[in-house]
Amino acid sequence: MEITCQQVSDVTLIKVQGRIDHRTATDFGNALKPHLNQCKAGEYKKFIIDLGGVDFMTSAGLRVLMTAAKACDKQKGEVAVAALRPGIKEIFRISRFDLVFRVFSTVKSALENLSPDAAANYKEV
Amino acid sequence: MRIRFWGTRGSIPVAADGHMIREKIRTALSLAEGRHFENENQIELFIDESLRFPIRFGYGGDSSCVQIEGGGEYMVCDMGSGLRRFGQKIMTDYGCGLDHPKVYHFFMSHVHWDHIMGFPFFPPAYISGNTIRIYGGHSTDVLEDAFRRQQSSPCFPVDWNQLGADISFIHLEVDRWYEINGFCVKLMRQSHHGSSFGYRFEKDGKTVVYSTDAEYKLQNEEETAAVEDFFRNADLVIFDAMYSLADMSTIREDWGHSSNIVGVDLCLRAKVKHYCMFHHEPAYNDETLYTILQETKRYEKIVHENHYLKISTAYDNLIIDI
Ligand SMILES: [Zn+2]
Ligand SMILES: [Zn+2]
Repeated sequence: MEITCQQVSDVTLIKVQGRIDHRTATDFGNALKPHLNQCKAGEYKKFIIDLGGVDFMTSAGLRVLMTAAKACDKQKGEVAVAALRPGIKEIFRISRFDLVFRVFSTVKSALENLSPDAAANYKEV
Repeated sequence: MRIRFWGTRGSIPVAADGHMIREKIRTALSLAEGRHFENENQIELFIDESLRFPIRFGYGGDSSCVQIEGGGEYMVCDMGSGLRRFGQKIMTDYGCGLDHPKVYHFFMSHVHWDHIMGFPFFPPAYISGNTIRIYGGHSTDVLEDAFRRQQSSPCFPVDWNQLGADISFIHLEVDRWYEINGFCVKLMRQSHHGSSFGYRFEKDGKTVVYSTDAEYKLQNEEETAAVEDFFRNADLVIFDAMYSLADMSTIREDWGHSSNIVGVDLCLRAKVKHYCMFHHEPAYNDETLYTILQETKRYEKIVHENHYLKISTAYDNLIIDI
């Protein structure tokens, strides 16, 4: 599991790669924390978690996402997830996470929704 | 070992109302497409082979009560409203059974109302000569108090002291083995309002785990590993799968129940053979429970790697042999 981060205007774009199961969930949570702490500091309050590189996720991973979303929510921040692979998308539906998370099919569409300014400045790599 | 489900619903018993039954009839007739049945056999065949489970049958609505057969005496987990039908069955089979005094072992997850409400309607409790042992991880005071209160004025017309059977309460400690009715029994404390207890029963190389009214948040690895250990290699795990993961981690957080997919993850980790979802949300109808079963099987297919897990949803009158 790997995380990289990129600031696009007022949106923090967090790209996740690899597996998120009970073995990697703690690392995933710890890796998300510093980025979400920005939210606490009040600087940037919009986050997009790009799950395009995640090929395996269990409930353990979903729970980490939920904890992160709750922490952000408390600070009046916004979190969206984007670019879910078919299997992960299905898991979102089965767990009903699609009803409590904002899910976008691409990073671009998530940006357009959260911040048109960031969408304009975003260049896909 | 035979597991017999007398009640499988969570929180409060429910019944299919007229509209639900009418909908089943309507769907069945529509699927029959005007066909003519030559005899009763053809009707049965059509029902069994052409109608899906929620149309031809249903999950029932009695609250938690699960019998474990295989010892010389009766063994039952929890006394939800399903206990009434268990008692009726005994009365039908043995009558008052005055010449057949029986011993009953009841294992209580906890004493929330949906888990004790069947007791006042359990005829063997009224018959002298019968022995009823009520085990639990809570103190005997907590256990006995709940039963006495439910069966006292103004809640119920027949007072506890009028029961004829010889009734005793027995406290069991967690993390040690007991031998009861030829079974090895172990308890685990679970996260639930006022605590609940899961049971692991072993006999003749077979294992069943009864774990209801438990909120497995799986927040730290130590806690999760302990649950995994308790479930390890079980032939059957009966699991509180009341909510979706989204519900149990948002609006229903800390309500004391788990989710269908948390059950899958735990059972896969523990290399369980058969995972049986239990303590169904009372608001769910048969179609919803059936859909959740298909989804849960699908989830297992996505995340299982080298271990195959059989998955079912408990329903009233279900029998599982292990
Ligand atoms: Zn309950
Ligand atoms: Zn309860």
